[in-house]
Amino acid sequence: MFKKLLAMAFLVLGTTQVQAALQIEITGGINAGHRIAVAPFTQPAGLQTDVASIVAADLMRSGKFSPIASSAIPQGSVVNGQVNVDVAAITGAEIIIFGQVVPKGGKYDVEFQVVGLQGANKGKVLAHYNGLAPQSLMRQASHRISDRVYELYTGSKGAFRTRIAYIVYRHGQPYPYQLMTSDYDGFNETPILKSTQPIMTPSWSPDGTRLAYVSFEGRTPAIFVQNILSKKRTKLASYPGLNSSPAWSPDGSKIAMALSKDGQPDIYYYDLASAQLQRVTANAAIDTEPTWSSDSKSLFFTSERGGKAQIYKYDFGSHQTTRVTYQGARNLSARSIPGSNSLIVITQVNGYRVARVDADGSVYSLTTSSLDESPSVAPNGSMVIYSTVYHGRKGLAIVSADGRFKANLPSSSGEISSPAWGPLLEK
Amino acid sequence: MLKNYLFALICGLSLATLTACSTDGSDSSLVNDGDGYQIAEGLDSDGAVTVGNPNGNNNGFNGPAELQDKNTIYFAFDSENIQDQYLSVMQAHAQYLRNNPEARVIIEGHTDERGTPEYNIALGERRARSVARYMQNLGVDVNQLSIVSYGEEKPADPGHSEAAWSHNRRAVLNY
Repeated sequence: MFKKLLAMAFLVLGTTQVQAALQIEITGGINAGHRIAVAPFTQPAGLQTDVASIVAADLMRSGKFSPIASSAIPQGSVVNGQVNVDVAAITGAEIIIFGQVVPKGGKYDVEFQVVGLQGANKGKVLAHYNGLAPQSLMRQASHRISDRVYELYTGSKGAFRTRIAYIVYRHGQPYPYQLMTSDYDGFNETPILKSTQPIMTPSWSPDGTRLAYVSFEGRTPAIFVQNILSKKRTKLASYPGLNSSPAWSPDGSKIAMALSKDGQPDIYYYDLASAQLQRVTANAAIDTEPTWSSDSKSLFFTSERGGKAQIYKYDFGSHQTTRVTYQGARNLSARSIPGSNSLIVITQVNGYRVARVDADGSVYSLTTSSLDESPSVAPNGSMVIYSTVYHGRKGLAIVSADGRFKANLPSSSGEISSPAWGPLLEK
Repeated sequence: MLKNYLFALICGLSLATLTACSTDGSDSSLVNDGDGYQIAEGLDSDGAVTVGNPNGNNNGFNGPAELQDKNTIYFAFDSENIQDQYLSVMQAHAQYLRNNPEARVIIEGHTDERGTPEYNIALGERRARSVARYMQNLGVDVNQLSIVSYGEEKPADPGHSEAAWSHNRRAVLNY
């Protein structure tokens, strides 16, 4: 799968025209995303993938866009591959995205344009791309359109062609605990490991080829690393007591973990180059849930050293440990947000909720549910995937990092937990 | 212990090169977990590695029949304190273990689903340790005791209510 994605990254889409600096005109107020129109693509009837609906859903989930309903786009906005700017502008959308999918040599040529509809951009072609994709990769080709539009607006990479890992529990099956990967929106699910015993805490290698996780298959927890392509795996840690919470550093050199072999749970990391296990904390209270800063130079972790669980930060340069969170009864599961000084945490306030901790220590709840856990941030910092309970079952949900957009990702069967957002796999 | 550490050392080197030291994914292979406990490992038709024996006794009680219905200690929210009503449970198991020095008990610590899975693993371990300490005080040899925390991963009641949670905050004495 990843090989295919990589191959596609190289083959697709030559640039014909991009405006360097896009003038953003905010039309929806500060509490709504950019109003955009995604017109239905002209595509063969036999093609199952509805390109426009994938693009609209992607952009909406980022929280930065508010696509108008396709039924609200006036007829005649796009005719024979040409946009009628005056008609389309009635929607109030800042831009219109339209295009076509044409069979070509056993594959499909996917072409799209982004045209400005308001102010100085009115009638301007802001982006125009085309590229070939096989039918099997039509969703990826659609996500790529979303990536282009996202980058056009925000200047940072879209994360719509990323994979996630998660754990499915299917009661009554021979192997009820299953480690899966899928596209970030739940499509193209691939099973990696199935076990009679629990699996926990998948963590991606930054090159997207391997997952570290905890498996209880031996009746005690052990940390494994598994290649998701070859499926081969290696046991990394099975010390007496807890072997918990593996977290791969963004630079790929270390895997942090929580072990209780020396008494209470403390933070350690395994250095892959030197093959050495290093202890980071030595404290009589619980220290667990290590995660890395984006630059791999410090570790965040959860500790009870101050009483109830709060987030602390260990800096490898100064060897200093500082407390990060003070607001809220408990704060757990810190995740750095790439490209920002803020953190995502689980905060205890009327239950357990996904929250953002800003550099000044203020904590903002992003959700209103009460059993949120296992937040994982998209590699571009735009979205957070987490698990929570809805419709009486545990399932995945997405919230944009600014809290504007929320969506559940219901599954057809089983309880789903421990989502881990994979890396961006191209430059 | 040392064996595990050496294994981790050697595998760490191979992790860096992405090649050797992986277990064979073929149908008949076995993973040795380093403690002599053999885990069946296979490959499912959909390409997933499978581990464990689906026909085995994966969640049941493996101890003496007379203790089967007396093997669980329930805890208050956010607590590892053992309430008086469960002392008789531990006394019954302690007596069995004293009379059967070859028997080995595994104390499984569990939590409810509130909080995060990794933090709950740590809390579950604290509950299991609390029971293990008490069993030692009752004269059980430390070599007969081991603990494992499942945190919130193996709820006795799959519900999402306080009633379910009160059944899930527990330590189970298993063999």
